[in-house]
Amino acid sequence: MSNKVLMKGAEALAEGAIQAGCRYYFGYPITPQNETPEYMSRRLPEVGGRFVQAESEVASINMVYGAACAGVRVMTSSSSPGISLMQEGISYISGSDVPCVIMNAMRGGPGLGNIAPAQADYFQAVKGGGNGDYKRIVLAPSSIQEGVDLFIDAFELADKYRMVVMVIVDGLIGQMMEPVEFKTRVDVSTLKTPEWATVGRHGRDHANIITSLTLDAPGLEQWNLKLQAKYAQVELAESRIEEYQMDDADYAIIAYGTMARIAKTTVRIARAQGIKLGLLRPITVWPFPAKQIQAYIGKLKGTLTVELAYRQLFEDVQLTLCDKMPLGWYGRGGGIVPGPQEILTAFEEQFGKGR
Amino acid sequence: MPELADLFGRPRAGQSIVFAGPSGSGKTEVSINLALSLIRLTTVHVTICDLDVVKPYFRLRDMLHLLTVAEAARLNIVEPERRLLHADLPTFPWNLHALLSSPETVKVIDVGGDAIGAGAVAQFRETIMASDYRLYIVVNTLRPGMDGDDRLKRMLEAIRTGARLAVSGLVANTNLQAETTADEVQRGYDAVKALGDDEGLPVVAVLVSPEYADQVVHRLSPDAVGLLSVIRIFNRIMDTVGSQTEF
Repeated sequence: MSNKVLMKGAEALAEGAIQAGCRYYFGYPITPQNETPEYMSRRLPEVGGRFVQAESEVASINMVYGAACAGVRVMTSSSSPGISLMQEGISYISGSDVPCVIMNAMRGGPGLGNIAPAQADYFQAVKGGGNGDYKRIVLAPSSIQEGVDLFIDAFELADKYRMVVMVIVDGLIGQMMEPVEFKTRVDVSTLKTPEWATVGRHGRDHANIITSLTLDAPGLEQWNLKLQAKYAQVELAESRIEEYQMDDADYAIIAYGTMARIAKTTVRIARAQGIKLGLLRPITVWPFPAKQIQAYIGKLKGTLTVELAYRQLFEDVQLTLCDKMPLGWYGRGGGIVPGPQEILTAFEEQFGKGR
Repeated sequence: MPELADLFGRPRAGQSIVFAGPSGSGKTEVSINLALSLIRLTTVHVTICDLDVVKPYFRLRDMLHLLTVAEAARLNIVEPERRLLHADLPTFPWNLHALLSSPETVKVIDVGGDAIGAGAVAQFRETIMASDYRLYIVVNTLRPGMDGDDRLKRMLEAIRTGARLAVSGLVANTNLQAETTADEVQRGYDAVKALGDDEGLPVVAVLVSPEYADQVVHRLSPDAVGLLSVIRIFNRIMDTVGSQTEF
């Protein structure tokens, strides 16, 4: 008898966060992730946590900032336009060197767009969004179970590097239902309040001060260099990728999240037709698994990047592979999700029959 | 194996069959399967009503493209007006009152999840009550928070209060999709049966999907087998989702 339950993605990821030791959630509703705050509002009081529905996304992210300064495990979640509103706070949190986790269930854009699944916030998540030179770790699960497991890592990584960790899913992963098992539970009583937390002096001779403001230029440059050194360390240590059917592959699809999952079916169909196709699925999109993909230079005849966006992931593939092999691209927008056959057709249009 | 329409007593024209229950318990799947079973077995006119104002994807309206042309032709489908089909607005069709009181058709009504979804239907309470209705609660005991007699009892009470309608029976839909085992189906049935016994409500049907039906059928208690129906799954679109799927 398994310990599995049947859960909707947005609920399961919320429970995953609770299992990871998250006890504070501040957020504002937006489709297609409303089940996350709803679930948190019910569950957090049961485990001694706090849920606050803020008056806006701007308020939510600043509440997250405050809790993060107190050294507790805190998160918020939203969907595309709501995450846009949070960018100022994300920059402040990053500039203050404090940890938190943010989930984005991406929907169609730009602007209000629609409530259908998309991956068009890739640039915003990976390259910036807020002001200044900062990075976030960005995790991109492609199933509900993986999302639940990655939430444990998300909080660990946030604490370890004192960084914002984003978990990006598209609306489909948020809304679909799958069996899921919670394998790891973090005992919150073992989580120590960090030395830097602003929770009183406790006998120290100084007060901890957390700020993203540094008025003197040399001081701010030094602060930036410290952040950059940290980001370099993360790039070296934390990039992750899944390599599927790559041992003898002539070609690879590069895709993440839901698109990668559909592309796996494409790989199976292609292989049945004698095309040696594999899949490279970034699990971290920042740090981008460039080294792992570059290892295929000289072995592959080409890659096809597939995304629910217009040449966003593709830009990182171009930076990674440059002119080392032919780089194809296929994407749909606005909430349209291509099926496995449609991806195979796009592959054949760009690479022939792949032989 | 009994037909789903028979398990529900072959509803007649004028009757309303309402499916309510916790979110994610399978109300949309059982609604569409009952409607299809009815048009397969009888000549009655069937109207299927998408009154889900809770979930934004995987609603009845998102599955209708999976029906055959012949099935779609036989079903009268009531859904929000086209331009609002993909809005996350809690809207109902303007002519719903008239449809719900029609004596010429069986109304199969799929309402949104939990007390909130059921509550949205309470505004049609008088129309539904005038139409010789049956309200069934669909339960999947492998959804979080659905284990244990107390929790099931509280769920039933919350939905009954939300809908402000009397409950006629329970539908056992315990599953973990393709990973479902016979033990789990049996335990789910036992839990729903115990709830029904306490509340004086019959278990009307036990649902299984074709993915695991064969492994399950011969390992269930005789009373569960007598209620067993293999339903067609519409929502399992994940790995094969395609651009014909309009969200």
